[in-house]
Amino acid sequence: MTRLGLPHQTVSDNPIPQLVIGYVSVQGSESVFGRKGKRLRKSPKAYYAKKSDRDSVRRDLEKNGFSIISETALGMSVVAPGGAYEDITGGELQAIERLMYCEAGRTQYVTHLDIVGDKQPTALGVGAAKSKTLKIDGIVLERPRIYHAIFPSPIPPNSPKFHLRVPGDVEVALNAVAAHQQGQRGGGVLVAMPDSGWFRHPFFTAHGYNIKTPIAIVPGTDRSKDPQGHGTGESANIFAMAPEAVLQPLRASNDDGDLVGAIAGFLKAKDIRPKIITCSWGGDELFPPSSDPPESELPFVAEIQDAIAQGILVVFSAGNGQFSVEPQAPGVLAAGGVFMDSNGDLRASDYASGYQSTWFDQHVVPTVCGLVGMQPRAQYLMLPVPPDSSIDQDESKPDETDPTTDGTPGDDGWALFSGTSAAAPQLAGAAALLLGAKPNLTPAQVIEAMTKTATDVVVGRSFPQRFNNPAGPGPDLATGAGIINVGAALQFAVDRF
Amino acid sequence: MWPSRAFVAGRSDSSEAGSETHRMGNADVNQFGAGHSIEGIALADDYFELFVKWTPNTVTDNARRWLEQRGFTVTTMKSGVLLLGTRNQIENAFSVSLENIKLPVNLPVPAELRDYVDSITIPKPRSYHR
Repeated sequence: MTRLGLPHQTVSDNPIPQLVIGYVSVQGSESVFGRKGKRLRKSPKAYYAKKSDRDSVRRDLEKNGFSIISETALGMSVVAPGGAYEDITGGELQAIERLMYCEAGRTQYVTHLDIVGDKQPTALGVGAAKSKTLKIDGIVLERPRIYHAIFPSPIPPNSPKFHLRVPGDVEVALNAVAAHQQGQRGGGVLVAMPDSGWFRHPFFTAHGYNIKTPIAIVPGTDRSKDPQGHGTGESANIFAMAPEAVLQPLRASNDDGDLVGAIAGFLKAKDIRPKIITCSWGGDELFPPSSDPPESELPFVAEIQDAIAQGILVVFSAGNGQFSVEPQAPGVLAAGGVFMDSNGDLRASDYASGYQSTWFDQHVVPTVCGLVGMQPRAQYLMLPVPPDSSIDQDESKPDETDPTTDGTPGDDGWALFSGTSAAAPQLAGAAALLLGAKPNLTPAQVIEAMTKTATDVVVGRSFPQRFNNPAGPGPDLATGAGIINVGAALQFAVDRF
Repeated sequence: MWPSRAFVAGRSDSSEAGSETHRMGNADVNQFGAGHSIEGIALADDYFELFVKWTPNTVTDNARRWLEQRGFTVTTMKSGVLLLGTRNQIENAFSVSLENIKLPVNLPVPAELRDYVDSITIPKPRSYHR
C-alpha cells in the first residue's frame, strides 16, 4: 500500500518508550511461529505450554525486569523497559514508521517497534530469545502505537494569497534548475540547522530528502517534535536549492517552542563538523547602536568566528526589523530579503533588516538575499509544518497587523510564512550546491561566488520603521549584493576556484 | 506594526524588534543588586543559557565539576563554558532570585568559583526571524 509514492516504511525519529508492552509465547509441542506458508492449526491445543514451562518463563521474565500483566495457557502479556527485551533476546529495539489506514479514512505513518539483530526474525515486531534454555517460543511487541494525530499531505494546499511553493517555485526563482539538471544537487553536503526542532513531515519523505535524526539540546525535550514548526518549515528551503544535501536538525526549543538553547545548539552544531551551519534567529539590540557590541554577546561572536576559522560556512538571517549581533559578525553570510512578484519583478522586502554595521568593519547586513515576503506578515512561501503547531495555527488566523489569513486550516500541516528565516536556509542550500560541486571552497570563496553573481535589486527599502535604507543600482544597504543567482554562482565557482 | 513575533525566553524578555528600552553596551549589562528593572516572570523549570568566563591561566576541572554537580549542561567555549540550566538550578547554584529579571545580567560569582571564574552572564534570548 502506498499513497502519492510514499514508501510503506520509513525511518522514525520517535524514541523508544520507557515501557514497552509485549506478548511472550511459551513453548508448546509446536511453535505458533510457523514456517513460511504454514498456517495455524484449527485447534490451539498443540500450542499449549506445560505449566512447569510457564512457571519457568515467568520466573525468567521477572528476573529480567518484566512485569506480567496476564497469563494464559499459551503465553503471557508483559510490560518492561526496552532494555529488558534487548537483554532477553540479544537484539536491539528499533522504531520505524509504517504507512497505515487509520481512523476517519486517513492514511498516516504510525510508529511501530521491532526487535532487530543477526539472530532475530525478520517479521516486524517479532523477537526470539537469545538462549534456547529459556522456554520462550517467541516475543511479539505491541503494535501499533499512533503518534501522529493527523496525516499531513506531502502536497501543499491551495491558497488564494499569492505565494511560492517549495521546492519548484523557489528553485526557479533563484535560478537553480539548470544546475540541478546538470547533476549539481549538493550531494552529501552536511548542513546543520539549530532551530525549534524538526518533524518528519511526509513532504520530506515523498521527496526522498536526506535528514538525520534530530538532536535535542534542551534536557527532557522530544527530538522528534517541533512544537513551533519554524525549524521544520524553514528547512524545506535548503532542499529547494540542494535536494541531495544532508540535513542535521538540532532542536533548541523547550516544550513551548521558545528558543531557550540557541547558543548551545550552535555549539553542538560545530561539534558535528558540518560544512554549513544555518541559523534563522538572533537577538535584538538598540538601533542606532552604542559604540561597541554588548560585552554579553562577545563570547558567542568568538564562537561564530571560530566556526568560520574551522572552514564552516555560517549563515545567519539578517532579521525582520531586528538589529542582531550574529549577522554582523565578520565572515558570516548574512541573509536578507527580496520579494519576487508574480511577474518576476524584484524589490527589497520591507519585512527584512538592512543596514551597515558600526561594530565590525562597516560590514553590510545583508551580504546577499533570498526570497522573503512583504509586510505585514510576509505570508509568502507555502511550507510544511507539524499539524496543529504554533505556526500552523497562527498563520491560519488574522492578527493585529493583518485581517487576512494564509488560506489554510490550522491543523493541516502547511502554512504560509517566510521572513529572513527563509532566506538563510535558501542561501545555505545554495552554498551546499556549490560545495557539492567544489568541496574545497572556503567560506569566503562561497560568499564571493554568491555576491559577485547576485542579481542587482534596485527597488524597495529595508524595514522602513527602523532602517529605511533604499535599494539602488549596485550594492546597497537594503539588499547587499542583491538576490542570489545559483546557476551563475556555480559557474563563477567552477571557473574561478 | 512590527512584523516580528515577540519572543519570551524564560518568559522574561521584551526584545521584540524595535523595542529600545534596553540601554545596551559594555557598561550596561545589568548587575545583581544594582536596582535592575523588572520584566515578566520566569517559571522554575524555564531554561536559560549562561556564559561562564574563566580567569586566565587556571585549571578549570574543579569548577566544571562544581557546575555539573549542580545540574547544568556544560559546553566548552573558546573563553569559558556555556551553561544550560533551569531557573531553579541557577537560583540554587548562584544564590540569586531570577524572578522578574531583566536580561542580559551578570550573576555574582560564588566563593567556590572565584579562583576560576571571571564572570557569569545570562545573555539576551534569541528569537526566530520568521
